[in-house]
Amino acid sequence: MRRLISSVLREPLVQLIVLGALLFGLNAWLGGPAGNARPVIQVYASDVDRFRELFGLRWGRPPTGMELRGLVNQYVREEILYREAVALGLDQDDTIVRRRLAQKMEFVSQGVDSGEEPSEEELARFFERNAARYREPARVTFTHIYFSRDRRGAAADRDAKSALTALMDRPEPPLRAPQLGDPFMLQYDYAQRSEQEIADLFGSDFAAAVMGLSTGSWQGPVASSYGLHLVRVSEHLPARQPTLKEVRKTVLADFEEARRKEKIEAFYARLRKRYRVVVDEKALEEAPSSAVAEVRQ
Amino acid sequence: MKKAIFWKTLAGWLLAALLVLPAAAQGQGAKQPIVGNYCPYLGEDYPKNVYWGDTHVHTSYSFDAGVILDLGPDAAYRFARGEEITAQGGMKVKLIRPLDFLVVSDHAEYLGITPRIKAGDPVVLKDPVAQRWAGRFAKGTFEDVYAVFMDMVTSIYEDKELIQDKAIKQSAWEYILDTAEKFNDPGNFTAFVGFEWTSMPNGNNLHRNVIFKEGKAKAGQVLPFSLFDSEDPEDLWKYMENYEKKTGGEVLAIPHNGNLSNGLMFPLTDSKGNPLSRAYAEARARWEPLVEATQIKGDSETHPVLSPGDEFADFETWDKSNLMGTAPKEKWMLQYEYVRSALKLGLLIEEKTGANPYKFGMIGSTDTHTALSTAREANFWGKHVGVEPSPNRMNVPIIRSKVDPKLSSFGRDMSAAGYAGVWATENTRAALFDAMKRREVYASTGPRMTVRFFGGWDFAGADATSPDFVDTGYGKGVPMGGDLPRASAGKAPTFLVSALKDPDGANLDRIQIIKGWLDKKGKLREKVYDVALSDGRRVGRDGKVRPVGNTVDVANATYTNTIGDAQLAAFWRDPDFDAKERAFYYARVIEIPTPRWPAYDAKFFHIKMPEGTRMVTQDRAYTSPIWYTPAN
Repeated sequence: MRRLISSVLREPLVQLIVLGALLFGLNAWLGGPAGNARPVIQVYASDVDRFRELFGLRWGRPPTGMELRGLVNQYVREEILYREAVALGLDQDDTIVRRRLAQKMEFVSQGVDSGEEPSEEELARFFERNAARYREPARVTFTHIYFSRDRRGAAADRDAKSALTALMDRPEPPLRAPQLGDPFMLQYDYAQRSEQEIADLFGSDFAAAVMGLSTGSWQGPVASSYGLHLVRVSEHLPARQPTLKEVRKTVLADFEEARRKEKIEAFYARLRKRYRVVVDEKALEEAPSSAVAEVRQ
Repeated sequence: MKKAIFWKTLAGWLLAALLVLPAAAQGQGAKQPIVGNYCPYLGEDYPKNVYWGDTHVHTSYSFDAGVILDLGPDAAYRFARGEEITAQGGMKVKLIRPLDFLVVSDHAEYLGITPRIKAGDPVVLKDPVAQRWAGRFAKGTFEDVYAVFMDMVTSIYEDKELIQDKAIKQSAWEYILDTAEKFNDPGNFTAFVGFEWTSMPNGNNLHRNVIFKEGKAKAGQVLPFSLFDSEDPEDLWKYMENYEKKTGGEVLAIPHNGNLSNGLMFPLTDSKGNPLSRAYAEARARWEPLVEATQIKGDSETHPVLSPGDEFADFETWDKSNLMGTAPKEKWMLQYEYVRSALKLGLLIEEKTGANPYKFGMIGSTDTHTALSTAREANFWGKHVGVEPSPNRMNVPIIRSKVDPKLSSFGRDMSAAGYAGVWATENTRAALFDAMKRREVYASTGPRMTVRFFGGWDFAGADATSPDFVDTGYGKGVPMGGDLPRASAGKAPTFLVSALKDPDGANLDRIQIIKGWLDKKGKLREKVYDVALSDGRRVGRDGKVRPVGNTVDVANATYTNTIGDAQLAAFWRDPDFDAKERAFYYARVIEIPTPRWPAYDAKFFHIKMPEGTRMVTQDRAYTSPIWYTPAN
């Protein structure tokens, strides 16, 4: 909290606003523009400290007296030019100024308490609400025998089925038997793979089918992107919900990201209500897709 | 009923006998010594998985992309690991499957300057040139943005650095390093740190992507090397050597677009015009173990003029000009631009100097400037923001020639390519980098097909179709990227090759082995052999092969896998081998015809393509070569 306030206060814009407010107050108190008093630019000890710090960060040593004086002069110069530029309205039509101010507004909108850690209850609630996001997928361990349609043509299906029959009739069917089929370029045995991971290798129909097989016996044939397979699943690990403790780091990061976005959106929504927006929909429809710069390399 | 059980039982026993008998027979006649381990899983330290990635992706941190792109390195990594992203043009985009690794390779020149000017970074805006550009961006018209872009391009072209503040570069580099650390997830997704060195004397492309094995701890001790530091690749290698000495880390460089170098990429002389020395050859082979053989700006495997006998040679050819469109292509340049020719020249230089500068493996990558690594015909997001999917991307210039409009290249010329397949033991920076160093990698023009290629002296015909294919390959030979061991007298080298289609892609038409060699008369030769053909086809007496056919329905942008094979494998022995001749061999795998990306555009946007736009393609993969060197 304190860190945030101090970081807000370090933002030059905030400083300017505060300074501006003070000056405005001072000015009004002294009699306003009607008075003779020239506007004041005050360089405080805290400003000097900041110059010192920034110089140190950049050059790895403290500034000399002359360099510090130079920084102050530079600041004053920038400040005067800035105020005059604003007075002339030079900030009005400038994309960069607009964008920067919009960014700062969003920063301000994130509120003063966003630097704080959420309470355990808040985190637990968030974790529950988004349970699906942290769910660990079901996994299977399986081995397979490949029957190539390219090599066997229409016989592939028959060959796979008769190999299956033969396997099932054996008192103790082998745990793996790639040699009963055709050579296959990927692996014959896969341990603890999720449906998505299997789909990436064999195609999604095969993955869905394998996830549905029961454990312990040879089954199939199951079709993949490559042909037919007899499959023996030796282990199903069901999908499971991890505890908050197991995934705390990820949940915390997600919580903070979500809260940041929520704040910005809520803030914007409040502001948006104050405006009526009129868009020339017809022009939007007709807009030709704009040309863009040519880029090389 | 009983009969059925009888037959089933008999079949079962026969099957069991088949399984047991060979072993028993061997046991009985066991005069031979017993070698190796009984347990078949011991010592399997060879790579089991191919990992897919892109070594060449630009983000807003590249000066050129940055003028019109807001997606930075974080978006590039998110997209590569499978997340849905909103592209610059506002459309949502996602990969069919995540990639396993990604190198963000932003240009070292003016690194990170455009996004920082746009964000109003006070450190950058202290610089007067940056201020001027900021003013242009602020106005924001096409002419203004283009003027900034041309300022930067011209300064690169003229080798005059306009913004020299090292602090700016340092802070951009740190952001890139931090982002890579954030996304690097050993075992799941590898985020490499890298940059592109953008040397292009007279507009001739000499670019290299530089990839670090390590992360911030080591790569953070140096700054990216830019063409303003030097245009000469030998100086880049010195920088790389210095990195390794200083940090104990490792680094490699990958050249690309030889096809736009106008004869400069694979020369016979160094940048000062001296014939290549042994030292040059050794340095180049050490620092540049790979070449990016295919990408959006064309394919550089070979050219129809260089390989007139190769019916697949004219593939996504870009041969009008150099990179900047400032000079036309001339025929003599081609041999110094294309990969196959360079591999041949390497043999010649090795014969003369004792070292081969062009002993490189092959990968593909995109070189996209959209932060989105896409290489699939059906999901192609183009070279830069201006050629993301839209009804009029076909006529947007990619290379806009100022000297002759005929030298320009356009959106319709883009190739939806490519990716790098890496055979590594695990998905980590170290394992992938080591695989790249030993060249156990291959190039794909998009599809993620699995390709194995082994060379040795003792393979037999049955090895190609054995379930132990891979054990045999490593046990009796060397994988892609390797050197054949010494020849046994009277023997010719043998090869095992196999390919499996992309699980979501097209079937395979064929596998070819391409041999290049230096014959006894000192002449460089090449030959393409069809070694595995789909659909039971055979090579005819005349050496020709019946085409695989074509199922593409251009209007609907569809094809069917009713032709071609899902998997192909072959054993091959070189029939023309001479033990005294230097040679290399690599495999090329060709898919059946599929719709080229403009067919998908035409269907989606209901538009007619410009005259002459190719609508059908045959995507392919190139393996790294295996070399044969005679014993003195």
